[in-house]
Amino acid sequence: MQKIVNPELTRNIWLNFSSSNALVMPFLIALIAFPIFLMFDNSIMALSITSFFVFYVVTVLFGMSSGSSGIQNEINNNTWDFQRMSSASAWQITFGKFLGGISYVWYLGFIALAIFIISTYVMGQDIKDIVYNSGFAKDNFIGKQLNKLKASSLEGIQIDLSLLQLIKFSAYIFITVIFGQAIVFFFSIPTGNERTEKISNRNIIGILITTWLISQIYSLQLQELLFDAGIANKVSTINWYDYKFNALSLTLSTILFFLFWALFGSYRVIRKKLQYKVTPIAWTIFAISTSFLIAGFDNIIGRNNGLNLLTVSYILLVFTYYSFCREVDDLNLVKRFIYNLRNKNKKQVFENMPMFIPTFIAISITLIFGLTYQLEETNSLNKLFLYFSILMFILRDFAFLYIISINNYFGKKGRLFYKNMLYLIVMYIAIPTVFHKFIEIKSVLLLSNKNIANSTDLLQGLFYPTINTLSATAGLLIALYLLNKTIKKHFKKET
Amino acid sequence: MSILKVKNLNFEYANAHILHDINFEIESGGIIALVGPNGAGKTTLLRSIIGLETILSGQIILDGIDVFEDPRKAHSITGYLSDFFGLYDNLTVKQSLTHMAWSHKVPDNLVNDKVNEIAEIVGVTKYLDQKSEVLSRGYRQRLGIGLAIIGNPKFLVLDEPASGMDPESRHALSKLILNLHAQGMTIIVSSHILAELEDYCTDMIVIRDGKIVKQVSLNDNQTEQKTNVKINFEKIRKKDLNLLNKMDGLEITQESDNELIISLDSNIKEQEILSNLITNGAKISGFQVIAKTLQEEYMKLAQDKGEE
Repeated sequence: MQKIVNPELTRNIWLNFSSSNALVMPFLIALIAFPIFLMFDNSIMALSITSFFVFYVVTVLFGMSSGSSGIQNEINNNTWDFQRMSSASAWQITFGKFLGGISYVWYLGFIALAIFIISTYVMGQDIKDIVYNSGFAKDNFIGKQLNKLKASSLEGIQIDLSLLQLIKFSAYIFITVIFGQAIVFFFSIPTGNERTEKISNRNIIGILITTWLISQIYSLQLQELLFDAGIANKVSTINWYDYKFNALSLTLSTILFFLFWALFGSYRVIRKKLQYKVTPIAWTIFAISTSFLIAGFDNIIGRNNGLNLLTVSYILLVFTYYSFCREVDDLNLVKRFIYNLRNKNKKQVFENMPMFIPTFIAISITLIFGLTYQLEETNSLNKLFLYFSILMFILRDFAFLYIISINNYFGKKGRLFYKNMLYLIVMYIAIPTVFHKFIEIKSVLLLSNKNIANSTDLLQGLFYPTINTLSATAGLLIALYLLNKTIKKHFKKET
Repeated sequence: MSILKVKNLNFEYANAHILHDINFEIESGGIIALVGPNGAGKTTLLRSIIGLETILSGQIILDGIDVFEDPRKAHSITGYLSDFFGLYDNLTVKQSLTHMAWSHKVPDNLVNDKVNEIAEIVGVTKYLDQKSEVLSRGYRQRLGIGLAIIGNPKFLVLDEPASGMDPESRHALSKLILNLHAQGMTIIVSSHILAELEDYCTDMIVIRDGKIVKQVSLNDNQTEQKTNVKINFEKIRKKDLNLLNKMDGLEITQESDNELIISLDSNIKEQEILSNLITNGAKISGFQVIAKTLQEEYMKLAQDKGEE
């Protein structure tokens, strides 16, 4: 038997590429896609559109689930311990499972993509065919809908469409779909060792994101073609911080950035599952770099260009809450962390550190600079009060979320994620909405209403961080008191 | 020489302290039975000592490797078969073994030989081209053990390996375990069914409520402590009983119409008893040394525990 790259990849190929799968399935798919083919008058064009449709169905609609379920299947089928006890490295398992999981859909996908490239190339170089689908039969529903687009000003325009351009476009689509599959793969790695965790909602989100990105790439690529042909006088650009970038290049670069982190993140999580010591360094670098990356697009929502550290802080806040919610049910981790902290085991403290701690520290740093340089209406002392208010609000929320988690663990069990979300919605949307007349809340976004940030009102300070630290302190103390009571109720003193 | 040292091991789940200050050592080359009632912490202890679970505190040294510090290195010398293991049902036995051989970094040119060797050891050679899903419970267990030992482990951990097996398969499993032991592996087997461990275990560790209650060497036990002997008579005469009662280091523990069970101190030879009885004219139809059973040891411990 021949090994293909690594054991895990080979195993997946053995499982997926039986002779019936490899030979019969492409014909079966062709048969299913045949009615779509028949909807067109122009057979070459029909082939082009049908093959792209098949590519999308196979790699996006089916590809998400086939790529994502690798480790969950191992846990569900009780084979995971064999893998964990083997000498296979985390890279081997990560890439073996990811590439192995998607190998079959890409086998079909590449066939479809190749047919798309060749048929589109053979079809000719008439952009109107591509844009308007003028070859559509007039009497079917899709044809009628798409032919409505014919009124566009691009009627009859000819441009050259080289093989290279088609391959380039296909490569962009390939990267986009792989990215979608990689993020679903990452989010599908279970945090614990529980069986039968459902991952279908992650697949749906992956499908939606990938579909949206494909449409973006398609329209940006088309725009470039028109620009190259001298038909359009400009291509879309995006401002990132103070720099102007080609929209297609920046979109692809951003996709590659997240593709790298999705795969690297998967590797780190799998390392942890193999019992390697995993510190939160990579997570912290990811959270900080992503926050700075996203903050650069701040001008899209109408804010000023340049580095906006308050925006960075808000994005870090999202990462902090996300990582907290992802780990809040792992009470063993918290126990180990506290145990090692008490026993001054520095190395183990770092190895068992919950991920929200470093991002919380990062927020504390970016926020102080953000408030100092970007909140001009507030004086320095009030900025300091506001700073502490925000941090106390975060800690208050964490205390409440721990209470929810502990009660969930010991009491009536439910989907903790939804309970956490419910808490945040109640605290930041429902209650302020109900009491909005009394507390004069106009926006749920932190600091977006400067009047709230500068408010000294005690009641307002209970709902949002303001310069009134008294309210924030009261909120935190109440939360800590309740947390302490909950801990005493459920945990024995022995630890 | 000890292959495993466990010091002050503590393991906790959020709501429960599962293992409490566990301390024990295992000598290299034995077959150790880890016994205890359901929920005693057997599986957690086994998974902790081979580094599959993250412990709260303590130290585990496996063949000189600190398991907590370097669990992957510990994995490389350990084979493990969990109580609810699964197989890749759509792969053939040969594919399953080959995949695991590659995963254990067996050199490519030796993989085929290794697969055949393991198949031979665990007795699945004739099923090499069959898919795992068609194997019977007993052969699935054999394949599971094959997957666990393909990396040449020094230390093999089997969690409830015989549960759900028929007597024939259990017997075959006992032979397989003895065979692996003969190849130099130290094996630890957990079970709450003591009868299945009788045939092969050299030591016993009893765990209860997350604490080690006792560690016994079964061989030592038999030599240092008392030996039980069952004697069958055609008919027990009064003078036979008088003779036995007069002898030092001997106690009649059970008596029926034509059968006695006597307990001998370690300095008394069974042959001496037999010779004296025959000289005295006793009509003996059977004479058998009863090995000290795990069951007896375990029940004795349970009794002691109850009396405490």
